[in-house]
Amino acid sequence: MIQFYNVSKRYPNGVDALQDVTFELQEGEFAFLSGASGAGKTTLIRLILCSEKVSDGRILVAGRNTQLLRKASIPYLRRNIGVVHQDFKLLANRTVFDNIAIALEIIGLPRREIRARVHQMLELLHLENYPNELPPVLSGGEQQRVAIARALVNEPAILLADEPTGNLDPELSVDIMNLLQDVQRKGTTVLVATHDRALIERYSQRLLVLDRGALVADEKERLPA
Amino acid sequence: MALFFYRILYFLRESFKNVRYSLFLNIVSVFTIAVSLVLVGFFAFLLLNAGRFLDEVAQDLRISVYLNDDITPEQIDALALELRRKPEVEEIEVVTRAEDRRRSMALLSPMLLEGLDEQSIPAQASIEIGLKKRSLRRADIEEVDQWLRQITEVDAVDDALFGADQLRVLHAGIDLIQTAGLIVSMIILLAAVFFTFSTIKLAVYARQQEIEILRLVGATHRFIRVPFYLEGILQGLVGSLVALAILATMRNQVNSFVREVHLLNLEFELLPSHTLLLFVAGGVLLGFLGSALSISRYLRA
Repeated sequence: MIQFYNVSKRYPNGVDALQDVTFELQEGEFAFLSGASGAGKTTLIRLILCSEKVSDGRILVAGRNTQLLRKASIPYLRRNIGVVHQDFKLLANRTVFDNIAIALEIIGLPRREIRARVHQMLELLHLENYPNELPPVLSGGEQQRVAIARALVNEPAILLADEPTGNLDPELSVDIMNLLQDVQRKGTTVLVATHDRALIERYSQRLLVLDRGALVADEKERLPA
Repeated sequence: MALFFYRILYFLRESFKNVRYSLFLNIVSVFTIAVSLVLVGFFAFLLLNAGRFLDEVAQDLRISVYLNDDITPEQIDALALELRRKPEVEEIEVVTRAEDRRRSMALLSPMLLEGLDEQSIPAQASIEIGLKKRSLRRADIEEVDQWLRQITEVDAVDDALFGADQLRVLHAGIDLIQTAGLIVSMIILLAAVFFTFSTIKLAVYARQQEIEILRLVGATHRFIRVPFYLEGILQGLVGSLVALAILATMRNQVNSFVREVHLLNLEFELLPSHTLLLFVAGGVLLGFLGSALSISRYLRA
């Protein structure tokens, strides 16, 4: 589902964010992407989303070479990728409902169906009491859940989560991780970028480790701590 | 088809939501468009009404050609015929001595006239000329002035009163107003476009994050753009209507000032009715282009 072949990314200021990274994530696979701050996790996610251009190498997402994608086709690729950003990226002046619904509005679903799907998500993420609240009045954890709901509501083939538990207490982190595993079990490919070693050690899923832009480890079989 | 319908509904809903959520920025944009259009409209008002003012003056302008006492009726007829042939002349009226005397007597109080010999009241025959409206153009004034000079050289003519010098001054003044007005309007128009675009650009900038989020969740450029276009059109529409209301109030003030303070029967026009729609269309275009240019800058990045 996600294939990186000798991918390098150099920013205009000369910083090598990724160097010769190669890995494959199969359909329905779950993997952690680990590394210290500045290791290149966010760059890797941005490359999958086509928010950045590859300097060297090749990336295939859902079988499509991202370098050959026309600019106008990028939005259609992104509709297959749910993203949970570290800073949530919620629309501050829109209600929780509208923030989740936006992912369905862009694909042009009828209002009735949007309402049904959003309410389903609100229940799944225990946000049913906040559909009309604005994100700034919610706690960090609640905002994180809204971001996850938005990422999942259109049932994407890929889910990218950048530090999804970074703002959550340990109990809620477990809930979120369980949810991400549920999503994976339903066939979605999940890539979770985190520098939280404790979180990673609790699970047995595949682990990709980045260090200063290079992929230094790819542990497919791990035992949970 | 259904998708198209849902999209239209979404765009309309979204545009109104944007107006509500970014009310302050929208008010600022509407205000900028309105102020810009008021300035442009004010100078258009000046330019249009300067010409109109000249027409009003022309309506009441009459030339009097005073005739010598010894002129014969044949000479009067010949002179009247010659004057009628002039392209600038709209109408002529021959005023005989008796008619002139009667007019003078009508102006005097009956007490003064009591016991007065009619013949002792001075009177002079004349030909009164009404000019065509368009005859107040600069070249026509010179033309009229020239044939009046020739006429005064005829023996039977005593004098002709035209006031060409005053008209030249009036013309020079109006020319100055129109030229300066045109230059100032062009500058104001450019400034208006610049200010409107800058304000809308700032308003779009304030929503940069929103644009980024929409892009990340897979919104196409058109999906992001259309609500901004609609918002710009709405701002332009409201802005131009506000500007028209301000200009209409200003026009009424000027009219009542001219009527009540200067006792002139002049009615200034706001803008010719066929340009009102153009004015509103201009406002809509300003709002639309401001939004379109600003949003395309962010989507290119």
